[in-house]
Amino acid sequence: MKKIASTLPNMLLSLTLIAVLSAGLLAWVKTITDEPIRLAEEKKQSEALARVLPAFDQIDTTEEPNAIIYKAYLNHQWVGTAVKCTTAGFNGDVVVIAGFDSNSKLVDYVVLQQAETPGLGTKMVDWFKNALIGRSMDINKPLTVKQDGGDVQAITAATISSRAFLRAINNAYSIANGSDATTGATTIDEN
Amino acid sequence: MNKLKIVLNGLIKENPTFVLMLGMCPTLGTTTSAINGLGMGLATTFVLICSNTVISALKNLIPDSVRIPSYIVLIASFVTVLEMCMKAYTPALYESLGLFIPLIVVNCIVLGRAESFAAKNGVFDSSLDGLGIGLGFTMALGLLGAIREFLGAGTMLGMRVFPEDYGMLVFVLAPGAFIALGLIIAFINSRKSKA
Amino acid sequence: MTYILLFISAIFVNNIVLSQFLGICPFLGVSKKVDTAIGMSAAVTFVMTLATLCTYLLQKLLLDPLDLGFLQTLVYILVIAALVQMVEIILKKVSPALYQSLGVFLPLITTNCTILGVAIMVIQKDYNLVESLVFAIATALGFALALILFAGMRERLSMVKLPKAMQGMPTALITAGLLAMAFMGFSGVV
Repeated sequence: MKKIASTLPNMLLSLTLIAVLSAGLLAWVKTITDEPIRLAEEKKQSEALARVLPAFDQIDTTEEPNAIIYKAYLNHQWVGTAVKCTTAGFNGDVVVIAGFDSNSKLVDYVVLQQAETPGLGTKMVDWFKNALIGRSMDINKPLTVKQDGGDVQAITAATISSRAFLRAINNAYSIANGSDATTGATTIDEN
Repeated sequence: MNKLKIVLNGLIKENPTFVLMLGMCPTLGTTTSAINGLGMGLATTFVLICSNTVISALKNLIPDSVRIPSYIVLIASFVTVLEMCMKAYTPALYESLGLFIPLIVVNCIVLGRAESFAAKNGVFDSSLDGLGIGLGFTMALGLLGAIREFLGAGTMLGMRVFPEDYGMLVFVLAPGAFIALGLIIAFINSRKSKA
Repeated sequence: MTYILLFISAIFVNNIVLSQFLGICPFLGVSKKVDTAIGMSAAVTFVMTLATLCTYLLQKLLLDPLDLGFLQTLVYILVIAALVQMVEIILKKVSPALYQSLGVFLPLITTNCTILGVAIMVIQKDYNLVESLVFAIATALGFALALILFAGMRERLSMVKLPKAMQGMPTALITAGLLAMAFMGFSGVV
């Protein structure tokens, strides 16, 4: 077959053909992958919830402007609350989901999204687990890094990321606490 | 042309990273660990094979003066296909590679091979060339990723080799990427001048 | 205040070349002389601002309402390619002098990943229009800063006697590494 010449109709025709071809291909792949993408996101969410909450059989979800609250119940008894919230990290948003049991203890946390410096800020995924898991939270004593007079060891050379992470946990706790009267704690005012 | 030679050409003689020095952005940006490097390499290989095959099949239907825009549209479509598939089936890898997946579109290797090989050769040869160049790129990224991961974090493919405290953190960070690649290329140059 | 912070962090702290690894090809390719580095930087600044504006409006006015987000990559690269062509044609007609100095760099810009990278980044980071523009200009200035500094260093390095294996690319890469290390010093600023 000979190569077709660069005349205007030919050019328009071949470009249109390619555009239609690509659009068709993309639309087809999208219909195939839509379902798996949704499932993958749901799976990530439910795995995170299972990690950060005590055993539960029912979840009550409320959406707030800048957080999502998941209240967990076992046999209709409230067992804990998880909060997904976002803070600004060193490089983009840090999205953390943290769960607290009925005694205000931090059960666990999962970092859902972050773009911190590889090898430094990214360590937040595991770094704080030893220090924070099982720790009793106090609304009047938010967690802070040692550099700010607190008692949490910041990630070496990534204080900004560490601060962002702790801010997320503190926010999560105050939101979980404020939203739930059954804990008996006073509702804190928003500031 | 010998079929095996086409594949080997991409792996060694025209290795896109170490010899042609193309596609430096993903080379430096995604090689914080061996797994990330390999993942990025394989993603690029997929796009290279698809684009090379389709472009060489369509080469006579595309008039010369709209060549480049047509190639770009085709490449961008394959990248988007890849993006959606990775989101669906390998979400963790997709997240760690992040922005670099859509940026395969502007990776000079892909457009370069379309221009210099696929536009002149047959369909089967072009797909083999895509495979060869892609594997050469994957190999280079895997090697650089492994070196940076080993020196910086003290692990190999996620397994600990020596305690983390003895790692040279700088190799996982941005400067280490430049320095490690510079030293690898210097090493290759010194081998070549001896041979 | 947030704009100033955004501006400084995009130039120094999250420098597009030295900490995000975008635009390495022109960074290594056109940094042999300071003059060409300045020309390239000017062209990138111009196109990046324009491209970010176009793609941002397109995303918010067309792709988002129609739920066509999956076409993002395809649409952006076409817009950028068309834009570069247009800028080239207009410059040729309107200001031949400017075309003389910037013209050679324009075709290279389509495949410069900083442009597409920034266009996608502002959407990912959910910036508003003003923030996006500030971010685009600052990123381009960061690119210019890194490129021009690097070109200055390479001009001097080219006169140094080096072992044969280290000549050219290896030395350039290691120098870039040292420059990146210097830029890490800015990380506490913001």
